Amino acid sequence: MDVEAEIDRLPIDLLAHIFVLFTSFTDLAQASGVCKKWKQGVKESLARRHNLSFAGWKMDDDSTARLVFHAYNLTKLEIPRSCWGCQITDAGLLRISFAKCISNLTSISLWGLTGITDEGVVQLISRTRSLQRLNVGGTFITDESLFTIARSCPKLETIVLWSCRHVTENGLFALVDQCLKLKSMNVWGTRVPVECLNNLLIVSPALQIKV
Amino acid sequence: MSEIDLAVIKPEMMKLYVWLQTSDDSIQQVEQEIAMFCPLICQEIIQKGMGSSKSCAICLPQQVSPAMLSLILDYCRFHQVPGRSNKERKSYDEKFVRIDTERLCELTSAADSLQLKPLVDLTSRALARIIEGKTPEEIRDIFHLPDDLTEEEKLEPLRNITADPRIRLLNRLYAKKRKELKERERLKLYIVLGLAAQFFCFFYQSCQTQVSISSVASIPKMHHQPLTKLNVEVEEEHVDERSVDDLLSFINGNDGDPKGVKTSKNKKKNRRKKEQQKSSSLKEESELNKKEVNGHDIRHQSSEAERISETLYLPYADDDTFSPKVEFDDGDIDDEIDPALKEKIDREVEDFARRLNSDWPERMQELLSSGQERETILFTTDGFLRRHAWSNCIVPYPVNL
Repeated sequence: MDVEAEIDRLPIDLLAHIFVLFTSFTDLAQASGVCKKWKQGVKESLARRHNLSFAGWKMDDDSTARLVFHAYNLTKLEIPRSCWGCQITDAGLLRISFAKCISNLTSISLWGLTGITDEGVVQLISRTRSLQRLNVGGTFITDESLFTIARSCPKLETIVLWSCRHVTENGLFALVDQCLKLKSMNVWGTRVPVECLNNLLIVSPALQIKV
Repeated sequence: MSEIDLAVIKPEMMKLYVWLQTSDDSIQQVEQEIAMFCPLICQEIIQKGMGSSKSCAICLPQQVSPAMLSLILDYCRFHQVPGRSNKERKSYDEKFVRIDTERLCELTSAADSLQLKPLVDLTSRALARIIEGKTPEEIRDIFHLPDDLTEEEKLEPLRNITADPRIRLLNRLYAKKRKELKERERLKLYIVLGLAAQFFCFFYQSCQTQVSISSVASIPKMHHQPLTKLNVEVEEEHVDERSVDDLLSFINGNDGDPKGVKTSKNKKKNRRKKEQQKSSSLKEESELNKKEVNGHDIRHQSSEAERISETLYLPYADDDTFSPKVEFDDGDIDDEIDPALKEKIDREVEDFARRLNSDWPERMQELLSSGQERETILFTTDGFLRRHAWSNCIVPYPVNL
């Protein structure tokens, strides 16, 4: 028994358990560069994660997609705009949309990603099946994205459209009409008139609209 | 002894033990209560009925050496005791994992094989703390691991986030800030040097003009305070508390001075000599200070600049040209000033002095921060206000123009 390489005796699942405790993606990256076993351990640790948040990290399309691909048990994904600027584009969302975990996601946050448009959002949302919470506040999406959300997310309960200035009453009506479980909607900063919001409440009286 | 007594004593007297066999085939007898804290041992006892005798000892996994079993049992013994506070448990746990890295790895492996989740979590956290913030090379050195990754594999994993973006950005910001600070300090120094030169020129000119009696009376009060504020090291000057009449008689040479008043020509010559000496020494000093500032670290530059700005004003504090005992030409002194007008002028002068002295620090700050022209209000002997615009120049006392 070689005492020197004692950590080498740890099984991969135990290494993965250690790596799950890491809070920094940088540390994960460093650990994956140690040896083949550790690299496998890092991949397994990502596979064990149910929540993945890139808040506060300067992420680009490539590294975000790679991490999401490894995290195939993910149920909650947060890619909000950080203070380091937004680097995620439609190309990144397209790559993420092919990850295994997407169909199991119950919560997605794309808050403040100014680099994304309807093209990327439609690609991502059209592959989700279990989505309950969606935050697309501060993005430049239009009704096109809302129509896709209405079609693809029957279980949707909460949506944040905070400051989405390009959405109109048509998109909101489609949401309320098709997402029957919708309980809460944040439309602060949108250009939707008050009469329209009143009409939405007539269609769905239980709906909470935050203005 | 009755049956009731036996029933009471029995649990205390009879301690149940289980037999455990470690990886080196040694067999240990352990209290069942403590041993059953480990789920694996608990399963063996309950489901298979093992460990009741030495012959049917529970075989522990090969990761569990006698030393590790001893450590694990210590952990179980402490945590099994009821009534301990969370603080006590936390403190014990912290001390418990303060062991060398190799033993910590061995303990993690042993705890995992015994399915002792609380201990696995504890040791895993300790290992995670050791690994965090280290480069792959450092990790390999600590754990004596082989480097079996190819160059492509090393670059591939999370290519874009191997270097912490926060640190990269912070370094860039700090570099920018350092540059800005340097520029600001240089600018500040130029302004201070420019100010000094302007003050010099202005004072040189103003000294050659004749100053009214009322102005003379107020000089000590007016320039004493600001100068001491500017430089802490300047000794406090003696405030001249003599009356206007005393000063008049002193100026006219009635104070027992046999020579009386010097001629203006000689005085001007002496003054020019003094000015030349001072300007040359000032230049040398400012150049020396410049070198110091450029040579110093950025952190000391602001204080250095302040020190320079203070020393640049020092010559005026000690300069006898501006001391209360200045000798003036008395050719144009008008003795027949209307007393009412004189009183009015005195009041105005005092008021001006008060305002100037109270505003001095703020004004100096303004001067240093902006290089724009400022209007300075001056009082003249005939009691009227005149406005003059000097670039970056505040006159510390009223003068005749």
